[in-house]
Amino acid sequence: MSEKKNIDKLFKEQLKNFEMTPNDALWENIERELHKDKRKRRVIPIWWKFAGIAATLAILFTIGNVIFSNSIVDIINPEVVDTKTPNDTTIDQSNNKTNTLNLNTSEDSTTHPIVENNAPTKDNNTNEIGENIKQDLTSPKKTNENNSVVASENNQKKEQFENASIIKNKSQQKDAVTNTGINVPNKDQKPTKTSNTTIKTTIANNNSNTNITLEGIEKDKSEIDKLIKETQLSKTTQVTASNTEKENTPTIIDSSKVNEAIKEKNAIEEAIAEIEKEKDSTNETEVLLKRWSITPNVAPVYFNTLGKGSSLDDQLIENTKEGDVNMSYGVRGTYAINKKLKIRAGINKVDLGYTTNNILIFDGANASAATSRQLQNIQFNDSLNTNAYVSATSVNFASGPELLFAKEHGAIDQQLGFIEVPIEIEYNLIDKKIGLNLIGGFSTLFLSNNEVYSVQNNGNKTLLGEATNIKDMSYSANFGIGLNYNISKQLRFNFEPTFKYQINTFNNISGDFQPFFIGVYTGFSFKF
Amino acid sequence: MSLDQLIKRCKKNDAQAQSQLYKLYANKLFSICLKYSRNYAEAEDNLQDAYITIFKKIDQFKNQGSVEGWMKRIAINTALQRYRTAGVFDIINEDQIEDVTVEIDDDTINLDFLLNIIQELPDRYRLVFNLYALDDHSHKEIASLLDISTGTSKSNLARARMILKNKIEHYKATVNSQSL
Repeated sequence: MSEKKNIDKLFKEQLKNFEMTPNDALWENIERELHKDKRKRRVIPIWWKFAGIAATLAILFTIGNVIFSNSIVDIINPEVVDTKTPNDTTIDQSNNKTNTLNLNTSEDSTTHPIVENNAPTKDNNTNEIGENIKQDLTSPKKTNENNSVVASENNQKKEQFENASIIKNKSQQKDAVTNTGINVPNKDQKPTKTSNTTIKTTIANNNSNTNITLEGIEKDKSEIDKLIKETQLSKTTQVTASNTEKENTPTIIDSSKVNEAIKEKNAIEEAIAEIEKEKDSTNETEVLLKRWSITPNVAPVYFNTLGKGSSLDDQLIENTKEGDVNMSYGVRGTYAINKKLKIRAGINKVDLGYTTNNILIFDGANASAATSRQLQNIQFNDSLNTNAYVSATSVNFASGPELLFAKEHGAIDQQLGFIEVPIEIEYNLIDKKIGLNLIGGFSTLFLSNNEVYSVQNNGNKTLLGEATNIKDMSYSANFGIGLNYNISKQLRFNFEPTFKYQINTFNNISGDFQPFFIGVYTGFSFKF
Repeated sequence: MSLDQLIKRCKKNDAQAQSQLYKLYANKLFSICLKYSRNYAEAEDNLQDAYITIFKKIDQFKNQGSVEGWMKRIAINTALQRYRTAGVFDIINEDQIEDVTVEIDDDTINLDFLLNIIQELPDRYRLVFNLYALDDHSHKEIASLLDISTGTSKSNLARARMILKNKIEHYKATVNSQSL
């Protein structure tokens, strides 16, 4: 009979050591889920790049636009100056004054007294502006205010007038286009003029925030006329009707200019915003990685051919060939496009060579028709011209009894040197302390050395001449696997077995001669 | 590699380290998930969610206390979260009964069977029973974890015990009758 026991204890004890292995697929799911995030994160730099391109295009476009509209302004400005300042002294609306007005638009339009009157019309509606102006102008109080301002402006103006400056359209900001309307042809009209122009500028100010149409301004024109009349009344200045009419024309011109000025201003603001945006994005990406690195490298290179063939002569197709192991050295620079992808270019000196075995060398004087021909792709040095070189595989005693006179059994060694300029792309598979990457690209090979030797079995090596069928410039397709070890953040050790398949190296090949070379490139990368 | 190093590497989002940490605790955490879930499939879901939370929040683990304890808490919380959001806690609405000790014959019983009957418990009974009986939480803690009153927690525990006892006794009876 078993003892009674607390059910909690029973479960606890029984399940204490209970463990169960979950399905393997579960980890794959988890990994995928974690990995998904990585992929998402990786998207960001790509997005930045596109944003960068878009921003650059936007900047170019806006700059182009600015230049374009600038030229128009330049053309128009002199016209206005000509028509509006026929005889008398041209009064430049003082720089100070316009500057303050301009400042007002950028900061707060309520600082200027006149602007204050019209300032509530920040709203987009042109009618509102008109109404406000109307209200402002028709109510006697406000006109008084206006007038007082005008008076103060007059004082300023007189001071400025003493200077009698000439219009400086180009030296002023684009917004200063409004200045052109401020030219006063007649001294007597100064006071009204000032009031008029200040109103214009305030309209312009409002315009910078709103999109006022030409009609809107034309509507306002009548309001301005009213103002002019009222100021005439209150200030007892003599203004003729013809003068006021004169006044009206510049307003129209102004309005078109104002629009242009606004356009330009917007464009400039946009450009500034874009530049800032781009700055941000580039800063962020730069933080991510050290993009540049330089790698001096050295490699043993092994040269051989894939197919059966010879670069020297038809009769040597069947001969066995041995690739030489030479050294290649050089330097390359690498630029990291992103964390995964790098582009690199460099310059390497590479020596290649191979030996064609089983050659019979004998005095050409004894050569028969069958064997007398020289190796087709070699230009011999004169002194050795009498010797003949024949593949042992292609002749026998029947075809060439002169073999008896054979000097030597030997080999032909072809040595080539190139300056190699590789351009490659490196793709990171693993980017840890120890990294793994795939390399692909091509090299341009410039011939720097071209020699053919005969090698006798006793080891004697004599220069025969040079091969005639090698192009000065050729190419290779490169594939490699890179292993690297990050010693520190700046320093990396690279080990890159690379296969380079040569393209277009020889003019005239016998058989299926497909040269390639394998290099095991090792070196240290310095990142910066 | 020490556990500390492993965690450090996990904090750096090292895939290999994550795999190792997973393997290290998968069995233990899976058993927790099995106890707290309705069935095997839900346990797997919970384990997966728990591990994703673990790897995402491993930065917040400050080496205070054991990783195992921390990971277990996340596994339990994941399960609680699932049934909390499912709204199942509102379903049971019954008179509260007293917290009574339920005694049973001390025999070794098939583990699968025990697990099975835990899983068969209504969600809240199962969670309360697990938290109280198997993972040593007080009724007060359970009340705050499940957002219920301590009375409800006690009542749920008592009911869970009764159900389990009945099932075990029934099971024993059938086993005995078969063996006779």
